[in-house]
Amino acid sequence: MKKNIFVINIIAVLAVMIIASSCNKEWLNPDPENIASGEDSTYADPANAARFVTAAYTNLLTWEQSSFAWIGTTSITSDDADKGSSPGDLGTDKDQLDNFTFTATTPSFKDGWNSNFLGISYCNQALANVPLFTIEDALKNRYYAEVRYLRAFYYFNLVRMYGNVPKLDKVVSDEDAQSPELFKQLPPDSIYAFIKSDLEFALKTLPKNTEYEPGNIGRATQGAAAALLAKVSMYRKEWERAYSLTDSIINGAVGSYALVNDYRTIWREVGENSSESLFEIQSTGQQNGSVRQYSQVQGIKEGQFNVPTSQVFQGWGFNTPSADLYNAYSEGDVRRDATIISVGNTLFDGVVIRSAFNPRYNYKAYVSIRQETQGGSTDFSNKNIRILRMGEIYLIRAEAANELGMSGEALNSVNAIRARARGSNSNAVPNITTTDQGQLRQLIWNERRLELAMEHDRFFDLVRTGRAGEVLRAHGKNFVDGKNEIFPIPQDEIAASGGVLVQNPGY
Amino acid sequence: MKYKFTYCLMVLFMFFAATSFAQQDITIQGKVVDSLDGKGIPGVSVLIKGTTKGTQTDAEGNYRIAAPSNATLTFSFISYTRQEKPVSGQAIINVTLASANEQLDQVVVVGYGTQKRSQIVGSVSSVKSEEITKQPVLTAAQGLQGKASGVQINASGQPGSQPQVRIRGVGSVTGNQNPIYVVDGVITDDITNINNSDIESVEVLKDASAQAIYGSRAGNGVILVTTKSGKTGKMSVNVNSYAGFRSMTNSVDLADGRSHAIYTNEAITNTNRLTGQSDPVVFDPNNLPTQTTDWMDEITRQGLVQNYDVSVSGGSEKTNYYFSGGYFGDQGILNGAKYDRITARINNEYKIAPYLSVGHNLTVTHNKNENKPTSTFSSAYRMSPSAPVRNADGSYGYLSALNVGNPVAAIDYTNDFSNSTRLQGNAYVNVRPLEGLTLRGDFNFDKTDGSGKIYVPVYSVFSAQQNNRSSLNVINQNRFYYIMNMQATYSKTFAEKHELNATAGYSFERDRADRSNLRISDVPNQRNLWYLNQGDPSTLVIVEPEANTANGGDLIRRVSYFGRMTYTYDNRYNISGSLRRDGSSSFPVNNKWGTFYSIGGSWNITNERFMKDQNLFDNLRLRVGYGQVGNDISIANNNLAVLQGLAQTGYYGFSYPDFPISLGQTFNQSRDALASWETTKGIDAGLEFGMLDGRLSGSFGYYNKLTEAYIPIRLPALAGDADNTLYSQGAKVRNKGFEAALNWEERKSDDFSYRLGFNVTFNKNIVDEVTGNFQLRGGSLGNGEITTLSKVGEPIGSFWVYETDGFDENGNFQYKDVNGDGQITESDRVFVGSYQPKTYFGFNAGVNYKKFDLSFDLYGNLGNKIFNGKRAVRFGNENIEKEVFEGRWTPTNTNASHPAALNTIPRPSTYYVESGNFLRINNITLGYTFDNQKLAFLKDSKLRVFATAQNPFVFTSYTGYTPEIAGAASSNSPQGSIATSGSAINSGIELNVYPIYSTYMFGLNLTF
Repeated sequence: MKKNIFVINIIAVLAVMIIASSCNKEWLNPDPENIASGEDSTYADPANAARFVTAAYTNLLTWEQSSFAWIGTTSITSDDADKGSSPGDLGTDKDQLDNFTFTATTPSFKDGWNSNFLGISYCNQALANVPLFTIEDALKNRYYAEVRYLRAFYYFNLVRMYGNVPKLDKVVSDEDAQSPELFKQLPPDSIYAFIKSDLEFALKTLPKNTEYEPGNIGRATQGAAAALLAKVSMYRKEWERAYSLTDSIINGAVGSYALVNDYRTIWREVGENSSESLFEIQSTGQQNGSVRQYSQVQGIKEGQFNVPTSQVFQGWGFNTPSADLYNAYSEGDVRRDATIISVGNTLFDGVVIRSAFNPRYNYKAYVSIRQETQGGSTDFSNKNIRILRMGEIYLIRAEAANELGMSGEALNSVNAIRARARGSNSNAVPNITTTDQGQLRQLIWNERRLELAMEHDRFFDLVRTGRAGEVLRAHGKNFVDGKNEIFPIPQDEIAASGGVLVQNPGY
Repeated sequence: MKYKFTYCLMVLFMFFAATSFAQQDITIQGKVVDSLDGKGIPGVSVLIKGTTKGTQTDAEGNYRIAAPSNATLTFSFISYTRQEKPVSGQAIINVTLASANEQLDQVVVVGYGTQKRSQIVGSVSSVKSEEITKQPVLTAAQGLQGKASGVQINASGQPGSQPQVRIRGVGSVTGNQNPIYVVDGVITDDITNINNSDIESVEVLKDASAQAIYGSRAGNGVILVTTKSGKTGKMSVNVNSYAGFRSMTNSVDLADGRSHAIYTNEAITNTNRLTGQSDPVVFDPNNLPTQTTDWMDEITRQGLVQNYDVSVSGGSEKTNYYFSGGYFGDQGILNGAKYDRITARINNEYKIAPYLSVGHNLTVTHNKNENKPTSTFSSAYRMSPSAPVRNADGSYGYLSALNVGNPVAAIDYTNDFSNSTRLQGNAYVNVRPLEGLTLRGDFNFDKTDGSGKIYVPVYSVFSAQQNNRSSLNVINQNRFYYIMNMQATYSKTFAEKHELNATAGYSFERDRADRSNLRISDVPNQRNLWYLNQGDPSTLVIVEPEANTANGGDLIRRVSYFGRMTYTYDNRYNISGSLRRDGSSSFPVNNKWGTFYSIGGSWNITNERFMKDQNLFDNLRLRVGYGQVGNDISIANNNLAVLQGLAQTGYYGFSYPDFPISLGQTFNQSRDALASWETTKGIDAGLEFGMLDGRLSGSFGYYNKLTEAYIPIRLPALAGDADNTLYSQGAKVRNKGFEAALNWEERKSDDFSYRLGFNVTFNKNIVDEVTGNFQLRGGSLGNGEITTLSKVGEPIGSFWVYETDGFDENGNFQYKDVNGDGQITESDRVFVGSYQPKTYFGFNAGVNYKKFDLSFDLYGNLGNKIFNGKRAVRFGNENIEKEVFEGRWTPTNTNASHPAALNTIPRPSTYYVESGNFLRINNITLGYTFDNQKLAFLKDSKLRVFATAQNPFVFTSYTGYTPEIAGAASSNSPQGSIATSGSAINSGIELNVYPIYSTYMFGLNLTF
């Protein structure tokens, strides 16, 4: 009997275990582990509304969006920069970008297309989901305006890179993704109209930089919206709008902005989010929240220095400023040695470059280990990428004024830029004095090159001003008029659309 | 409510069972001898008929068993005719077994129980433990190579890793394609914790009718691993040890320093001609380097492998025990790497009452890894031979025009340690309330605690190999899995001729994992200070928070009902069916449950009356089965239950560093609302035979199965899916084939016996259907080119490349304009085979002569292709193979076998596709046994010493390091990591180099 009692005990224990652990209807329906979902408390927590918006910003940091492909398509293509690095090191496809031998399978274009559309998708997700939260209407509106600003930013990239692109103004459902309607490409006019409607909304809704609560540096502001809309207006030759917007920025009507005095500090850590800055991509220098490898790709390759090499941020040496760019600066222009690291120069942190693989490197991508908080690794530097800054605002104003026949205003603006470029050397970079509209136009365009060199503007600006073929061919590139003004639509995407997407002419 | 009802029924049932009448047991002992020589036969299985309770004879053939006085004992052993003896109250039962030379009545583990070989209707291969333990391999899976038809093993060269196992071809396109392992009831995908010496038997369930009892887990096959238990009788002590060294089997001749320089310069000049650029050459043509560093040699070594284990086992009437402890150490061939494993096991059974026994199988494993980057093999392949390991001043050498880091420095600067402790096992209760009925409850668990540290010091070799700020990663991972089974088994023979076996059961399981990986900077470079609190707290980050792989966790719960019934008429006809219903928390709410089944029959022809007068066949058996099984992890790393899952997109620093970073979160994963398991349906038929008094035995099998596979559907970027991929059940993949195994075994005399075995599998893998116009492309090289397309009518992952057609005037490839449209476009690509072998085979032979034993194993693959990816991807100025250099096209060598040097990305072409055929000598072992020792303390002991060569030779025409390319192909490009998983559409691309090795060792086995 004793044995039987033991048996019964065991079985009872088993029975209790079974019943306790399993008589549970929810056994197969647990809350999804480590996944917040649209079906749980997500919408009860206002912090999640902010996260939908932040997602649209985080897309600015990816390798595909802002790093190697972007550097290649906007800078290596232009006459400002060469591929760089060693002759055999092609950076996957950067030789093709440099020489205009690229095709629809060139990987950089896929990165550009995919990441900008992913960013747009994040914006649309935010627009669809923020309304589901119970938060103040004012905050909701600000969120809408922030993501519409970003959507315009992504579309401005797309329309300049690919020309005819589909318009996505809402979240794409699974059914939509199969529909040929989704891939219907609109002409640039329609895309620009969409960009402008987003920016107009952002402009009237976003707070000024002075109005934000602390802790919001880096968000889209009224000033950023005005600046991007001004630039878009310039691309659309809507000169009056461009003029009035830039005027409003300079006047302080949309926030507090001013040219910083020392051009050389703009791209350094001390120049981050300064009065010069209207919008820049924020990079923390930590693995979380940094632009991936932006500085490493362009870093000094194989340098010998006056200090141990471990004290100098080095990299792969791509996107090196061209000799043509170097020579474009007049003697004494402070912008030259603030834009270009030349072998032999002394950098602001005391580093002397005795030798290096390439003759020149992009100073605007340089991070100082000695004087800046460089961050955890060379993959994640703290370099903020300046997207829109006052230097360009003055030049847009100058160009618009000139086109509107207000040469005096144009000269005021362009000479404000040149005065800064002069630095302490009063004889250098003399004021422009011509009032001839044609001549002045050329000079302003040239000033844009000098002021914004290596800031991802040059290629698009050449196309905008209709000079791309002439200038780039003179630079030895195989630019074909009527074709290379825009890039090919990635072959993979045409395939994924079931052949609905139409390739750009010539590719 | 449904569950509750079931539980309550079961509980009631068990109460009833436990308290029911108990039959009085008596102890029976005796000896089992061979009818020919009268010697005791060790290892004979002695079972109480109708139960799973039993024992085995000891080394002298003696046994002792407690059984009810009215029971019947069955005695069975491989190649002997089974006998049954009614106990009828006798205390001594001696048995003489006649050598029947057939395996029909051997008891085989089949999942949730055992079956007689003669009653199995599915395809099950058994591999004896000796076949595995004689090889110096980490896992039993690797030991299976060449031992069973239908089982393809792709070796992995990395210490501490498992091989890739494919059972009867590949059905899944993406996700997991490895079989599950069931170790004493614990379902797992990792058996690196099992000491091979502890394994009693390994059974491979190869077809749906054998697998269906494991339902949704069985789609890729099931490998049952049963560990040893103590045998009633004298205590037995086994000591095994071996030690030897590993060295690289094949190496590839690379260009020397001067050749590399010439080739590099030519490539630049030729590229300049093509693009019109005028890039300068890297090496001064008047001062070419003379130095040659053999980088592969610099980073490899002869690595020590060693194994020591001891086991003590035995048993009495009331208990059986098996205890073992072991150490396995493997350095591998990469400098600095190390893998150490300590295992201990206790498998005991306690017979509390005649109708009740409880027991446990418990194993604890601790392993310690010192990891070195395996990417250094690729670096060694690509690094310039003109750079020295170290310069005269002691600094590391490099070539500035090359982005490949110094491999020796990479190894020296790597500090990567990991370890894990794993506790695995079960506890069970067996109750036999009435004759023929056994109730079993078992609780099986698997608990792993792992941790790791990776420290990267500040260093600077050159600009492409430097780290400016030290970092420390601290990694913790733990997992707890359990499965609770309750099952009832009933077996009874009615009216002598009708035998019925039935098993029904219920199980539920939970699998929970937790992971964290934190990184901090500025930790001093001293191992004793590698802790998070030694770093700069402002730099602390959560590594890859947006992916669930480094930080995060999983939870999966499952519930299953299963049953199997076998009816045998007159030992001639068997019919067997199984049914399993599985529910899983991983699937969407309406797709949680699936039903899996099989039905089959077999016919023991030799038991027919008309076969009575023949003596050609000892046994002849025909079987056929059909069934459906599933694979519930066909979609990697996805919890499919959540259709609306929010994904983290990373952080953004607003007002950083004055304010903390902000998390981004959105919807960016498209999910198929119908996603569930992948099903495989198939038919299997086989003929088994034994002939010539058991000397010849063999089997032939045919199978044909169809997998409805999940495939990654490439979404357009506009769909807003971050990885542009949706997994959907969009393809049907068929594997059909024929397999044969033949064995010859002959015992000429006590001094001489030998055996020969051969098995071969012919498999045809074919994509039957791809829904819609999805393009199943794969095999990305990471340079923008893809190499495979899985198209209807072709094998999965078929290489799809341009066809070369001689050289143009510059020595560049010309390609065939296959469709004749005047231009070379994607539609000119052709299919040239895949990595799936058409045939694989194993051969083994053994001879025992007096006290010597010699064995020999071969394994080979035929009909598969390999894409030599490491040749196709040559980023700027990397090294080339000697053959490529010497055979390159130059204006003076226009009849060349390799194209002219060029830096542009080549089209994937037939030039890179090579034959993957190989024949490998797997194992050669020579042993010598000392017994009847003169020394008193070794009396009654048996000592065997042996020498083994594992993988000494590979015969292959493939020019790379190994034709066995397991695991993932991924890009070694320093400019971005495009990793592609080792799935079928990406397999067979040698992009990363990982050489395999040969092992030479000595060892001993001591038994007393």
